[in-house]
Amino acid sequence: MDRREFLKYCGKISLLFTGSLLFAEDIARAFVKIAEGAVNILWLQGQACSGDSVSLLYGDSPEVPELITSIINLRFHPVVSVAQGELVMRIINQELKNKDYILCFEGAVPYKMLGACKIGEFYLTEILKKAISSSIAVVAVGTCSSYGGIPAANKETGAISVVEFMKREGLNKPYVRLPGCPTNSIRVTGTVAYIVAFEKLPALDTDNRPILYYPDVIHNNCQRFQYFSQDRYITDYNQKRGCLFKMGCRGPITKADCPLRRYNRNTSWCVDANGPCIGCANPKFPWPAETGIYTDPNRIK
Amino acid sequence: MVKRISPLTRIEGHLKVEVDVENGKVKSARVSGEMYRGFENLLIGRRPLDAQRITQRVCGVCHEVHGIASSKALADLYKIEPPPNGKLLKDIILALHMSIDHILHFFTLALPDYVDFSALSVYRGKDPKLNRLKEWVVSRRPWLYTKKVPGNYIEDPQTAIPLVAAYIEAFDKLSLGASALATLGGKAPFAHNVFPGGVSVELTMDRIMKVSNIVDQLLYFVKTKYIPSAVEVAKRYREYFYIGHGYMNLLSYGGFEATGTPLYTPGIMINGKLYPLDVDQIVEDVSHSYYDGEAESFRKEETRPHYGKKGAYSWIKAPRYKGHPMETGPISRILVTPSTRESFLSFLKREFGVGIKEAFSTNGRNLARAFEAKLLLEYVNKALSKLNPKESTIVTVNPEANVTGTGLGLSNAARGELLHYIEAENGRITKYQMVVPSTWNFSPRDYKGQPGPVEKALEGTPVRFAEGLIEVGRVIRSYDPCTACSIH
Ligand code: SF4
Ligand code: SF4
Repeated sequence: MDRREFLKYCGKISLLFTGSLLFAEDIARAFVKIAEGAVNILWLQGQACSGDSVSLLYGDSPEVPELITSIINLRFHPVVSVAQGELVMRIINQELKNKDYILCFEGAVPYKMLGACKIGEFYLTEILKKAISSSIAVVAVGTCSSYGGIPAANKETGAISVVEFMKREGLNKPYVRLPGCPTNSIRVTGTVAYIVAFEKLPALDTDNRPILYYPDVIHNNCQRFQYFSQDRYITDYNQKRGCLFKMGCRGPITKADCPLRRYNRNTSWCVDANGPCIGCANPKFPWPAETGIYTDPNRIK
Repeated sequence: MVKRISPLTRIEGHLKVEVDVENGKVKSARVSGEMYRGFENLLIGRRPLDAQRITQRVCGVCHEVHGIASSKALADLYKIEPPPNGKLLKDIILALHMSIDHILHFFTLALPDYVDFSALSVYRGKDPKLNRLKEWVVSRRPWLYTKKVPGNYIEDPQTAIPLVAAYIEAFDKLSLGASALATLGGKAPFAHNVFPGGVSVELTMDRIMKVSNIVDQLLYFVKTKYIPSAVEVAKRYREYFYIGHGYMNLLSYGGFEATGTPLYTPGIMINGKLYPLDVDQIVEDVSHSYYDGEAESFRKEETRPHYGKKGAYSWIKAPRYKGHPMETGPISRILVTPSTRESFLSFLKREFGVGIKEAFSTNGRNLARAFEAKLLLEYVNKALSKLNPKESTIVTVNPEANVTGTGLGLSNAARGELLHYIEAENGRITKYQMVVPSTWNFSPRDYKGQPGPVEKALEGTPVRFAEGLIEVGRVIRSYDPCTACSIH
């Protein structure tokens, strides 16, 4: 790639991640920094399902080869790395010494039953403590990592989010929450590229979610909002046009950009496919057992 | 001498394997699942419909399989039957997902066991993606691709480069396949419009056309890249027809029936002989698993976690059929069903000159997966042509219905056969049990001391590269391990 092509490419990335072409130069500088090996990504999993990793593997803007060769320098990823066993532990330990990485963490942390998650011969909690301490910043990828999610609905393991773990362990690090089950890969690549490019966190809301990706409740950007304002509701799924509020849609109380950025090559999102939003990016997901996921909206408090 | 791979990578989740090596061969093996979330217990007391949205999140790799299995168990509980469109849509979503899961397994997860990516350094062609990767590999020596364990990798550029090129192209096909899933399900992973009574999406001609178009592209990739790559690897590593043999016990629930001509038939193979399936012969043993209790049928058992239990070494339970450890996966469906058995075995004969015995092997499993990707996509094409946009897609259930009863869902996943079982009282779940493909395959020993299927298959594996145990990794990955699923 020559310089002109390179800048054009940076412009594309800038547009993608920040919504503006203005940052092409910053992005270009970030690539140089990455190329110099200045910032790395260490990706670890706790009580997870790998959904956020798969979301990344399915990513389209950019696709994986583009992402790993020119945007993020993934030092280790449990699903992609060719290494296995002892060698993995050596890579992780080397990174912990280098202290030059952003930690992307996927999944929840079992705080009570430590044996409910191990990496190699260690409890997750032991490795995680060190991995957070030596990191530049922590990106909580997905709902489990951000808020506890489904693992935290089980009371046996004492599962908590990585953010809560940092609080309980007194670990102070800049952090970002990227909830979503799984979260849109654009949010991950965009946030990481932003941190590298500007050497600071993107603008965050009071809950540490990037405003760019969590601008408003879903409801306010929903393509079916007109139906809602006209009180035209679906009460049977064979009706295909209408607001899904009465089917238990959580769009009115869940902040995320799903209707704007959509999923999988900009193809669709839940409501577009006539499924109510279940609030998978909501701090309360999967909702109290009593009310359940789908419930009569008149009874949601 | 005991050696271990801990953690195992390029799989789903937290898995460890310990092997006892004697005279350059594995004498015995122990596989441990190392992560527990407790799905079955957190569902108790919730509304039945929640189970579908929650259990679909057991795994983000095989992301649609639990949602579909659960929807079948719930349909049984609510005593409803989806309309033809609903059944077809569920089959389409499942088959489409499984075929891209197979692509992901072969290229992203398994291929790095066989190919040295640094062979790219001599690439002279014009493909921009390959050139970018080459530049990156040469100038940066990225840990992601260069830090690997010692082994006999394919290094000659003529073979290695086309395989790496297909590895790169596979990412595009994954992303493309996911967009077809999103066309019908809203997004991937995890569609939110699949319900017990069907799928709520509006069935429009342009949705159907879009999916059909993508299926054609995927089918082309499977025929021209996936199957040929799998064949190439198996030819280069012929010895792997004799490594990873395992028990000759197979489990198939049948499936993909919505078109009227089922792709698979249910059945059991024990020691190479076929028998009819009876799900009430299934029990889950926990004598070497971190749970209290006795071996019980899924209809009776409770999940009582007990980390550090004496004699236990895994979070994975040990399902047994009439006391037998059973293997499940594409190979089990294909070999139990007469029509696919015939076509798969003639493919093996033609390409490699081997028979059914060699099908039970590391190569056999990888090839069956590639073969199934084609079968599934062809099935999707047939199912798409049977959709009728004018008809209903779903029977709606009331999430707050005061239902009491039981429900059983038998379904398929990329990694094998999947069972969900639910009991409810007055609209609340009182029991939920899942017997999952990777639970079968990666199970520990049972009360009789019988090793699980993978533990058994590892016995006799040659260990020429003791440092990183590459051979052991290859055998295990031929089962496409999914730890999150196996423990749930
Ligand atoms: S479908 Fe949901 S998000 Fe959309 S307008 Fe209705 S309630 Fe709001
Ligand atoms: S619309 Fe709701 S349920 Fe769908 S992905 Fe967004 S937050 Fe999750």
